[in-house]
Amino acid sequence: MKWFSDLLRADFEDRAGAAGEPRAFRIADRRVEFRFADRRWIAPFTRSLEHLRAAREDGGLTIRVWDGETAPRNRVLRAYLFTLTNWWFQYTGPRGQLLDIHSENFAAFYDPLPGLLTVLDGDEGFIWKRDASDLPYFEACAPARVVLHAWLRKQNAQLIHGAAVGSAAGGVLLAGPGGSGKSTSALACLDSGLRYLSDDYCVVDDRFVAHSLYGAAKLVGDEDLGRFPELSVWNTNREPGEKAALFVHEQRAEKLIDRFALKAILVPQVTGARDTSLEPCTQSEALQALAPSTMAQLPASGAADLKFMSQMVRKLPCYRLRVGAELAQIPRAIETLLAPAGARA
Amino acid sequence: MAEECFRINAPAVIYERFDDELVAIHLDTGAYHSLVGAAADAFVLLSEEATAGELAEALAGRYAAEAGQIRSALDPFLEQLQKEQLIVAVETRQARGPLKLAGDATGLPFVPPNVEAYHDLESLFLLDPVHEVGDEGWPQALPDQPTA
Repeated sequence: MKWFSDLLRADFEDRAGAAGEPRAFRIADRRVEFRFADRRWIAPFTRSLEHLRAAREDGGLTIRVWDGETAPRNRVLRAYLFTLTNWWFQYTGPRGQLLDIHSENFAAFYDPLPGLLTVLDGDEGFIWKRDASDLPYFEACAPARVVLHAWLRKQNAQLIHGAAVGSAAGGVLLAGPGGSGKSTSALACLDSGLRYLSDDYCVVDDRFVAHSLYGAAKLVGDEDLGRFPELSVWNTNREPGEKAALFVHEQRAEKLIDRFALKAILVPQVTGARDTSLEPCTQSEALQALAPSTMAQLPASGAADLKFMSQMVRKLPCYRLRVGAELAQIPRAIETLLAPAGARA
Repeated sequence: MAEECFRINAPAVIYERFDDELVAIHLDTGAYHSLVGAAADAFVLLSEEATAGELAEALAGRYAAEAGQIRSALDPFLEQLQKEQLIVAVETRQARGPLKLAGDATGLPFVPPNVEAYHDLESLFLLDPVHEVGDEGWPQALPDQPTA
């Protein structure tokens, strides 16, 4: 589908020139550069990645970002984007894949809610937004995740829906769907000896080293946010009924860690009891916590993702983290698990 | 009349086996499933295409139950799998050797196979779970419409 990426690149260059406004990052030891046709998109797409800013270099992934406020000059592209955005349900599959265009080697998705067309062709990514309306908070917290996931998968690294806390000596991955207690557990570690790698998404490489991705955290609502009164002032999303959005890397940069080797996978379960405890769980239980929620949010995911995550749960010890109401116990339980065997007693 | 033959609904359905348990995910519905014991064994055998009778014969070599008893328990199980769209009927069978389970365990207690289905993530998996989908499935691009 080279013709499609050629048309998208030409439309971007019509708007921005060849380079646009570049911003470079290092994600899981790989270079990723965004190029923006319009400065208005720089902050929404990069705020959550600022802690990974890097100098520009050659190679890696280049993602061009622009919008459809000005209609494409090319008639074929103009007609296609018009029909796609108005009758998307006729031109997309169940997961948003563009019918007749998306394939194993050419990822192409449209999500009508934010109006985002995402394409990955080799090392070139394209994110075209239907209009100039604001990016929803959940996209700004985890920008470009569809194209990053598809590209990293080709690099043998896996974008994971999970929180991660630990230290340079090693850490744990907290796996589970939204509302399972991942964010609460990760944020409860901010005032402990543990450091914060992610709340929602991270990247795990083929040596099972977890890498920081987004600096944003999300909490389900007022009840969750109420557990962290000191964090509520950071909330940047004031829409009623939506999750609270916290940019941890801006507020507590000293607590961030960019990587650590994973030592265990924890499946949080909010119990309603006072105390927090850990107990072994099966590999199958860990995979059910990890894989469906990761794959649900990444439409390019498939058999290779399930295989990678299955290898993770086979290789790493898996535990159920029974999360109690006394939040200070959460980091203590994790620190005890991570302590060298001789230091646990 | 020949017995109906089934196969796993690949590539939409993907799975991983862990000892006694198997996790399957249906990429087009967003449902995920847990199968244990004989259910997991039967599901793996279905990757090679099988009738209920063939499955029962193969499972009888591992579990402490007669093939007839196993065969009776397989009917509701296969119905469950079809309802969850985890398997589909095979119209033209591929040539293959006899079904055989990996490993050499025998005499295991037989528990009628069952599938636990979880549908809690469908709204995240699917682009538009509210959209009306007809009997013919998700709407496809019309052949006389421009696609690019």
